Amino acid sequence: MKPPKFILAIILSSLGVTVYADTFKIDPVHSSVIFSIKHLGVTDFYGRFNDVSGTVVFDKADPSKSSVEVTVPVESVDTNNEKRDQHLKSPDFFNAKQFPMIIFKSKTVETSGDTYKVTGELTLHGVTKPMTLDIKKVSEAKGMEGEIRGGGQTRFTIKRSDFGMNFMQGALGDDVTVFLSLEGIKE
Amino acid sequence: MFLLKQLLPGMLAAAVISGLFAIAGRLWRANSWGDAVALALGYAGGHVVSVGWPAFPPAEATQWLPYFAIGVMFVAVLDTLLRPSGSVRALIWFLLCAGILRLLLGSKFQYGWSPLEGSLWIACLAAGLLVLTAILDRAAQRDVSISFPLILAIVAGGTAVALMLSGSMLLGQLAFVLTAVFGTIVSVGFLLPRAVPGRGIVPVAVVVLSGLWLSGYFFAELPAASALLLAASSIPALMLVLSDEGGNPRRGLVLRATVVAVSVALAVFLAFRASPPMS
Repeated sequence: MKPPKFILAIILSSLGVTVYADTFKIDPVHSSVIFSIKHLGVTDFYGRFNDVSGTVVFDKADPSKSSVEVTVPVESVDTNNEKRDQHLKSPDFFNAKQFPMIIFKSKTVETSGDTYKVTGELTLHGVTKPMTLDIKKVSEAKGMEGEIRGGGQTRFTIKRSDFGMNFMQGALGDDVTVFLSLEGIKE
Repeated sequence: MFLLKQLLPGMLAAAVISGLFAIAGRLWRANSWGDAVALALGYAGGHVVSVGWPAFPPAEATQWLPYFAIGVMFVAVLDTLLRPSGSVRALIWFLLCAGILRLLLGSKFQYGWSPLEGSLWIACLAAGLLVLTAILDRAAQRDVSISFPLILAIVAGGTAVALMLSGSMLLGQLAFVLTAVFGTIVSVGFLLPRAVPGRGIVPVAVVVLSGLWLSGYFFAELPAASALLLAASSIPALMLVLSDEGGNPRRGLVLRATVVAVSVALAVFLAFRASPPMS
């Protein structure tokens, strides 16, 4: 005879095992990483990264046990112009061959309503800086094949100079706004 | 206009610093190593004015270049003063090049090469630099005119254009800084001709130029053929230096400049062909 689920949960909890945590694998097809930067002080210019991966561990019962890890390959940068993409990947900006990945790893997660304050470290261009993201959990739903999907999104601004990306200051703004919209498939 | 604003401060700083040291070197009769100091400090000064003082240890490959230039400058000065035997020089230079390449291409070991693959690359590249240095060194010992720095100025200028076409304005900018230094040494050499050739310039020139070619190839999109052509472009011209002793100096200078310009132009053309269209 199987023990009731709640007894199993209590036993596992007492052993420090997270019971209610769901792990979502980020779906790159339905996730977006978009950035904007001021060009010549005239207007905001937008670009995106076509690839993103990672996992979100989401603990409904104890959000502090949740975690977020997002990896974006720099090679996937896309600004709708091959020459500009080549320039962005060069040592002038992202230096994609020396620093091929942009990585965010959470350290703590706090909750406030449906917003999660995720504090962690962002590694970009070989520089790691602490960063807090306000991630708004959007919803969960069943996908076409019955899989559970969950999503969240955030917008934050970084100074590229903080990450050693100083080339063409003036012609291009220092502030870069990032729009991160993630959809994950429950494992 | 933007490009000019970006390029001018570093090039001017490089020209002023290298000019002062090249003149001082001639006045103090530091014939064998004066230009090495002018080249290294001129390049390092122009680099810092262009992109700021690099942290130590540098995070990016290009940030190593001013440190390499200054470090190799000391080696070049010692070399001209101590004059070690040929095999000792070759061994020291090979090991030094291998160390420099290991630092410059460190991220390839992290993200691309296995230790064995990386070691093979480093050994082959260090051997290539050794050969290039030996050829330039022989020519520098014979060439008492301005054609030696002029040839290097043409190579550096072509490197700058090829690197810009290969997606990196930053690397191109640094190559233009180097062009300004060689151009200044040519001008000073024209105004204050020296009696003894300055072979000390060779190690610094080889390290900075090869640092730019390798950064362009490994970290930007400089085609391998362009990088190889740029590396080899000075060799035919310098062979003419070796075979043209006693000839008409002005005609010889034009001939050498033309020979190097043709191969540099081909390297630039190949970089242009490989570059994505502007729009």
